[in-house]
Amino acid sequence: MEDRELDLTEEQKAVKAKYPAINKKFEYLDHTADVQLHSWGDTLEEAFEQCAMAMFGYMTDIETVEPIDTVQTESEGEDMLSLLFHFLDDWLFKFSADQFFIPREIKVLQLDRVNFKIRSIGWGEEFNLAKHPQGTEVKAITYSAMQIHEDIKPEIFVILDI
Amino acid sequence: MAAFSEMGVMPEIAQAVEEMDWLLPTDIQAESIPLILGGGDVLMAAETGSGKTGAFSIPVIQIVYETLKDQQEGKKGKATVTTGGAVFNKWQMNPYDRGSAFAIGADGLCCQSREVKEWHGCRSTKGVSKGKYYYEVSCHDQGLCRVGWSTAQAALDLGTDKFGFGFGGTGKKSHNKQFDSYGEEFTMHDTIGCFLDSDKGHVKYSKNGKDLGLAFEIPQHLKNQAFFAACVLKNAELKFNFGGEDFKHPPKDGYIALDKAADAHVVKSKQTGSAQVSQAKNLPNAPKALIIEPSRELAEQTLNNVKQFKKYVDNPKIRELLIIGGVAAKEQLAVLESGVDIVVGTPGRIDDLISTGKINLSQVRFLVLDEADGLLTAGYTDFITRVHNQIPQITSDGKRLQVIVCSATLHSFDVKKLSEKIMHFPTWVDLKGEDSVPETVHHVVVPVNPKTDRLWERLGKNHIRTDEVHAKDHTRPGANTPEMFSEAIKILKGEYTVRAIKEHKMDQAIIFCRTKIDCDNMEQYFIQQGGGPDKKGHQFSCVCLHGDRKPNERKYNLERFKKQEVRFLICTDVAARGIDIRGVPYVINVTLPDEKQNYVHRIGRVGRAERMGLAISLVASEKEKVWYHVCPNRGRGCYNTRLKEEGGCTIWYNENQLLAEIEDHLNCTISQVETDVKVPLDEFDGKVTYGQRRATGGGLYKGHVDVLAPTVQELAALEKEAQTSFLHLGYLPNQLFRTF
Repeated sequence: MEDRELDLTEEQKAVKAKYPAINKKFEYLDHTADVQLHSWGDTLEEAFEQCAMAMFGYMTDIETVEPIDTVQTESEGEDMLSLLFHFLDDWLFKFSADQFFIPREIKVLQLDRVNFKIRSIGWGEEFNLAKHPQGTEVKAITYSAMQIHEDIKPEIFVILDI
Repeated sequence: MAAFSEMGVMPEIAQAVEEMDWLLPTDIQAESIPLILGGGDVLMAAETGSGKTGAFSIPVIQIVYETLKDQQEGKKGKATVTTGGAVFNKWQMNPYDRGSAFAIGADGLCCQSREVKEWHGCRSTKGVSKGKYYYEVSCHDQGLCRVGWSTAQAALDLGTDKFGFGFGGTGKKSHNKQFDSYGEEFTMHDTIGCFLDSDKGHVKYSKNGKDLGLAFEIPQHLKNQAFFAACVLKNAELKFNFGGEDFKHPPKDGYIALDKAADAHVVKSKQTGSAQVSQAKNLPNAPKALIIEPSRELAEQTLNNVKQFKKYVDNPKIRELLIIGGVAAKEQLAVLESGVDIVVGTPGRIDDLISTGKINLSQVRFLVLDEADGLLTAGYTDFITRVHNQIPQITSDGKRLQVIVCSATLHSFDVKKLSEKIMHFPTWVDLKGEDSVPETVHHVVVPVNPKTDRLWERLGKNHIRTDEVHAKDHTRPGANTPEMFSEAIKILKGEYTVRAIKEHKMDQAIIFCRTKIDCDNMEQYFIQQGGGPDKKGHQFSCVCLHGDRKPNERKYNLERFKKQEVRFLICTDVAARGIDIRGVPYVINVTLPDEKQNYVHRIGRVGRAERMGLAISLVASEKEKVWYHVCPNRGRGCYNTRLKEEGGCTIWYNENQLLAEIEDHLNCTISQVETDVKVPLDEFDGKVTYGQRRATGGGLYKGHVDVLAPTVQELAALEKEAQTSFLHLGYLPNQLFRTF
């Protein structure tokens, strides 16, 4: 399963054509009942960004999202894995609670590997079913089989509860 | 001068910096200067007045100096192997003959293009004109590619014209835009052999050693031409082997490795770049650094900064030049001809000079885009890409082009996109997540409510001239229409401005108006109060700065304000960005800015260099109708007061909503004061004198002490009581303890 194709209306296609395509460095791997995200990048920061975008990409076609607003998150963890968990969880919260923000793209501003802190910014807008196609909503991030690899190239695996 | 030199700044610059009274680098400087000196691309986001200009000018000057010094001493860059003549002595892919997104590894053989939507191609440094040759290509991933042979005149997009022959991963051969099935598909891990028999005029391919048969017969008109190894990629990576390593599948039938070709039959590519580069070396009009600013004022200011920093830099001296519109190009050209190293300028004129070849970009190794969000909103995206494309990605001495982008905010999506396009793994330096107001600035809002303050009814004709949006409306008191209140707001704002000045006995302030005509009217009103530009030192002496004034006048006016000959600077948002006027204590926003970011820019004019500042915004509680010129001549001679939706040039301006947006953006509530514009003293700050350094040491917590003193005294008394009570306890009879 590489990318998810959702049916788009003409308006959604028009929005999609309006902005440069997103450079996707993630894929969805088949998993019983849940979905596994696999993301990578030139740097670990990028792999984090792509992982969060992969999560939102499962909920809608993020290329139909217009970058008209920004939201920033700051997350903390005790180690790399919990940092990743909280990073995704905080982004999921931005979507699930008031303002219902869905980002088109996310950029990690600062990844502090010593104190396990991360700051990121997302460009997007409020989620709107009239405007954005409906994918599958993510219920939670899980620690199950969570992996962060940095030896050859930065890579992340996360299983989402859907 | 430890602090700056510790970051690796050369002593000459550090000395100049010290003399400017910069004792410690600001946060942004501490973060960015080492990164830039280290050769990285940096994207800086920082609030105004944080020392951004210094953060890029210092390292730019230093690296330009070092480059000049190296040239002077005849030193060659370390990486010359990959550029200039050397690459042409060996069979490899040609860095001067490739698409913009096409990357070539240090070995000259590993190639990559990560552009997903376009094809980007490349040719080898050498070609062959006679004989039978072979080379191999191995695919490293699943991206799309075509490989084969082309002549020097062929398009880089192989197989789309008469001069190239390609074979693609989808199992198609292509020539002259014609794609025919041939052989079989190939992808990751496959090795493709490319055969050229220029004697018979045959091109064929093999896959993993399996001969796929004749692909093309070279037409007569190409037969005697030199053929180069060529490929074109779309989001793919592959590696050439011209014979430098053992072939995986050595060719038979007399085909030999390309790099074994006899010298007599080898043709060097004319796309050498080096010829142009070496020739450019002594060109006077080829600067080493290009700094692009959105406005003339900013450009001038940056240039002045550069001049100050380089004061002690000697042998070679650094020559800088300001290139801005509005002044005769002749002088700039004369300086250009005599030689420049750093060019600071605005897009319009720079574009002119580049397109006419007056500025040569071949030596640029620093591209700085200051206030990039401003540049992009002003529609210079194409210009930036164009300039970037004309600058060699690797300079003659083998260093990579460094791109530095400054932006006031990270909220602009366009800036992110730009950084991805033109920057090389940029480091984001963002010190404050959200736009925030410096601690040294107090900012307050004065509500302007024409319904509760009926002052405007009583003024008669004795008020500020308004912008005539309501010239055709009935706005006399009693009309009670939205138009009447709108006009009343305009009148009241003039009054409140004067009142604020009197109340705070302002001796220097910047007054922001929304439009040029508002500025002119405010200036007139000040003249009416006895002030104006000619009354030096008068309470209402002022100058005006906006786009309709001539550049000379703008410069002169700014100068007069800086010298404190006049007390007030009335301006539109042009002056809001970046202009560093030190120690201005007050800002008055007659109208809130259309863009919420501009609010931060505007109030960032005060409270600089640790001096306290106060920003007062007049916010109308009703809607105000204002000009919003969409007409082609941008308002000149336009009296169309119909609304924009009706094809006119006005809109209803809702300041309450703007205020809410600004507060939301800054994540704070801006305190409101009464219409008498008295600002209550902050209980902890105590009395502050705007324009002065905030009192340090004891003064700061004096207010604090006063508040806490009674409580501390009470605490001391209670403690004493408790201790005494315990002591007494010991002397009572029948106690469990009698230790003392």
